[in-house]
This record gives sequence, C-alpha cells and structure tokens, in this order.
Amino acid sequence: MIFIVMLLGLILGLVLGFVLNITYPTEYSFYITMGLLAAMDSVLGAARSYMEGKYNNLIFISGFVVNALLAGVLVYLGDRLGVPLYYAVILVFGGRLFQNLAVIRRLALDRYLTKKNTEENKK
Amino acid sequence: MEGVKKKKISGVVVIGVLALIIGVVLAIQIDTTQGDEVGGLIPVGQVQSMEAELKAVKKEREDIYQELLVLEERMAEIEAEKISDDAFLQSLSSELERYRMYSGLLDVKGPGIIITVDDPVPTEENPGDGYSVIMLRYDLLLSLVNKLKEAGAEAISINGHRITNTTEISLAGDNVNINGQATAPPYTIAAIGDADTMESAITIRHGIVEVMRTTYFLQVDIVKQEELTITRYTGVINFRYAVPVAEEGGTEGSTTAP
Repeated sequence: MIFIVMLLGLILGLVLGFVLNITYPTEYSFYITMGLLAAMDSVLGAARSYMEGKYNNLIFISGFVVNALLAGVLVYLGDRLGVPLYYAVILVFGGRLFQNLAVIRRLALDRYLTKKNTEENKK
Repeated sequence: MEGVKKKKISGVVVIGVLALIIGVVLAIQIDTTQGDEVGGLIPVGQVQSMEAELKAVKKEREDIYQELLVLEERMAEIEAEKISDDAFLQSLSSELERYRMYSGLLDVKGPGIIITVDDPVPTEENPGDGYSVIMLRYDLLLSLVNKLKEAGAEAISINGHRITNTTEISLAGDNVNINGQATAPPYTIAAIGDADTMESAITIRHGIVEVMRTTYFLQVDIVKQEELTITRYTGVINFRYAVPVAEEGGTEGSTTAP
C-alpha cells in the first residue's frame, strides 16, 4: 500500500511539475539536487520504518527537513571553501538509499516467504 | 487499535505528499537542466581546469606579444644600423614608417578628443530591459567612428582597440567584438585629429551624439585633449587572398573592379 501511494505521488508530482513548467536559475541546481537526494533518502527511510512498524510522523518530517537543510549548508560551505563538500551529501544519502532499499527488500521477501510457508502448512 | 490504524494512515498520507513534492522538484530540475545548454551540474574540477587553461593561454599570448615587441625593436636597430649612410635606404625607411603609421602598426600621439559612451542610467519611467543599449545598437559606434573619420581623424581606437583597415565592430553573442576581441561598455573612443572639427562634426544638430543622447538616452561625454596617445594594433595582418596587381602584363585573364 505504501509503495503504491509513493509511486502515485511521484507520478502525479512529475506530471504536475512538467505541466506547471517552472524553472529556476541554474546556480541553484546543486542545492536542488542535493535537497532532492535528501528527500529521496527520507522517503525510502520512511518506507522502511513503516514496514518495520516503527514509523513516526514527527521523526520522519523533522528528519526530512533537517537532512535537506544540512545538504544545502554543506553545498554552500563547499562552494565557499572551494572543497567539494557535496560529495559527503552524495555519498551518505546515496549509500543510505541502497541500505534502506536492501532492508526493504529483505523485509518484503521475508513476508512473502512466511506467507508461502503458512499456506503450505495449511495444505 | 483504532489509534494505531489512524496513525498508519496519516503516515501514508505524509509520505505520499512528500513523494509528490519530490516528483514536482524532479520535473522542475529536469526541465531546467534540459532547457539550458550548459546543464546544471558542471563538475567544479572541470571548471577549474578550464580556468587554468584559459590563464595559461592568456599568459602565452602575453609572452608572445612581448617577444614580438623585442624582435621589432631589434629589427629597428638593425635597420638603423644598415641604412644610416645610404640616402636611398633612408628614404625607403621613412616611407615604411609612414605606411606603418597609416596601417595602425605604430603608437601615435597628438591632439584630439576622447568620447565616452555608456548605457543610460535606469530610471523609474525608463527601467531598461537588462540589455546594454550601446551593445545592441553597436551600429551607433560604427556611425560615430565614421563621422570621426569624416572629420579628419587620423587615428581612432575604441577601448584601446585600434581601428584599422580590417577592424570590425560587430555584435557576437553577448559581446561587441572589435578586432576580434570582446568589449563591453563603457566605450572610450579616442581620436587624434583636429579636436574642434571632430567635436563639431559629431555634436552637430541631429548629429550622431544628439541621436545617441535623445533617442537612446546614452551617456555621452566629450573631452578635448591637447595630447593623447593611441596604441598600435597588436594583431597580425595577413593577406591570404589579395595579391598586388603587377604593373605590366600581369593582369591578363582577371577583371578589374571599376
């Protein structure tokens, strides 16, 4: 259910974004992409905790906001210092994306297998 | 039980909304980076390496120019040495000097005027559209140069770029190119010649300066100078197509322009 909602939201958002045809100055594209990465990480993290049954709205929203802000600050600081600090953002959030996906995959497989087992036991 | 269920549903809604936001931002990002030929993500390293390359090339250019100056100096020395006792060579040399001056290959000084042209100051009723007026209407510069020549200017330069036979003043992208180099306002046009004649030629009623001031609201400033220096053309003049026509017999089979 949660994945269907996520997918629906994503598709709806894409359509909305293309239809509205908004653009912004290219200088900010780094900030936007980093924020995007943080947001994607947050959503996958939420999906994971949802499946684990530990989901909490407050933790999720605050995590999302703080992560996006930190990503923006790191990009800005990196720009000022001339050091590509945004690598940190990419590495951490990118790594966490895969980690979260792995956990979700395991949980989903677990559910599927136990369901199958119980069905077999019934027979 | 009821509370847990409610909490679960609100979580789904929040996640859905966030996914929607991500979708919107993703679409905007795709739109923006595709609409721009440069693209959004240019690696900092690439930019830096290009900057370094540009710097190296600029330095190389400067070095070569210095070398040119040194070599020219040496050539002048050799010339002076060789021709000091030959009247014929001496006259040839002075003629060469004259032609060099004529083609803008020598620094020259003399009385003249300096004209400064800058974009209009944006006002409330005339805020401008963000484009430089004088750069868009670079033909005004051409026209000004033309009028100066008409008034007998012997040497003209714009922002240090000497006007020669082959000089172009042309809009190229976001820049006005003069002698193949990008320039930007304010434009300082220096001209050597009779200062009074030149000034009256351009400030005549309905003349070029009045058009610049009243039609385009440009800031035009004219200063007469007792003595000013105009630097030489630093490029190389190559004739790849034109060859001199031989005095006798060599013109068969070619048509002469009237």
